[in-house]
Amino acid sequence: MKQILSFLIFLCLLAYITKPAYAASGTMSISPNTGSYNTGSSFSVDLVIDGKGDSFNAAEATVKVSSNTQINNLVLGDCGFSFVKTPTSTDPSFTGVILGGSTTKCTAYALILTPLSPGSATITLTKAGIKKYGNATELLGTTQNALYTITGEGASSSNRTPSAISPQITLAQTNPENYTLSLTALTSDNTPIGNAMVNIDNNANSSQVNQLKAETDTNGQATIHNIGPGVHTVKVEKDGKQVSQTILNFTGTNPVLTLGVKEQKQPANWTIIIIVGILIFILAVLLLLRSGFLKAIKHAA
Amino acid sequence: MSSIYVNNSASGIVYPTNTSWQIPVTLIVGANTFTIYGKDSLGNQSPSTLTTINRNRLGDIDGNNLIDLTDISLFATDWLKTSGFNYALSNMNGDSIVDLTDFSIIAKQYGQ
Repeated sequence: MKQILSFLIFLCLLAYITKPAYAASGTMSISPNTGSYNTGSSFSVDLVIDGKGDSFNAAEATVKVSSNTQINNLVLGDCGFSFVKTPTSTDPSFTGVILGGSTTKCTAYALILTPLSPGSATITLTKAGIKKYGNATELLGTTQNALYTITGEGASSSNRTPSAISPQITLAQTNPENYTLSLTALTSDNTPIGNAMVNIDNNANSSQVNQLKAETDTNGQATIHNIGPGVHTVKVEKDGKQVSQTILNFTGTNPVLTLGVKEQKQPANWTIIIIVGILIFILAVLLLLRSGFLKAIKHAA
Repeated sequence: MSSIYVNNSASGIVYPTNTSWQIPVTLIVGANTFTIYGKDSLGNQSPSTLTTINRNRLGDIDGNNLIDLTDISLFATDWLKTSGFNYALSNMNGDSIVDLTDFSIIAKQYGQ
């Protein structure tokens, strides 16, 4: 018996000593990462960040889309990132952080792509990282690039339906003095939100004086010019209710930032729920008192 | 003790009281190490004390002289806190709240 016990202890010690060192297992991937698409036909892919059970609050990647594929739009996902490096249709590379929170898995953004010529189209992720919430240890284990087959069976260039094209941009040698935001507001099921107000707040590091705003058109699009460089809070409101709030950093040599935002789920306002509950309770008690219910119970007792 | 030596020099040291001394120094970014000892009127030297003061660049929360994803990840854990910071350097402008101004600062420094 003693020998068996010793053997078991030995096995436990062996298992402990030889256990594999903690390896980062988080992933950053494009989904779907394979498929066959026709030239001229748009399709959507997501950039998904997965901590594989670990909470993270920051991620970044240099994202390159092959030149035979056009990015029609970039719509921010459900990570709730504030961006140090803001991803745009022109450059989808990003550095984002969840301020005061974390998640275990989320979609950074969706890319709406249109293949331009037959062959292979790729999306590659490099210089990527995912940081664990709390101590910022690296969680990223693998990145998964995308490789698509593009066939020429789609609409020909002569009868192709025109798609939204990002403004032609001439890269300046230095950072521009002011930026333009070309924003599309969408519901959670990608319906454009028209007549919504887009507000850009000042920040302490910006020389900008006035709050900038614009109203979205029927396509959910609004363009705001003369945005000072630096960090700004971009709010979208519809009928007095907030649709989304995103912190973006306007920086870099590209003067136009083109991206989309989706309607964010509003958290339950527990204060109002509790107050309403208390009021309903008081009202119920008053009604009972008025009906003499309590008096009857007392009399019966 | 009649005199204090910092890095083998008594130059620039002032004595506000009988039991205190001061020396203005310029800190470089990174670790600043000072060897301090005293001597009495007979020239007898006390044991040396080694003191290190770290000076971080603005936004360099973890002190590795880079402002990168690690720093914004650490910074974000203190978002909107007014006390009890996980990382004291998150409050970059020293106004006692970690807010958008601090985020602006670290965003501007990012990658440098």
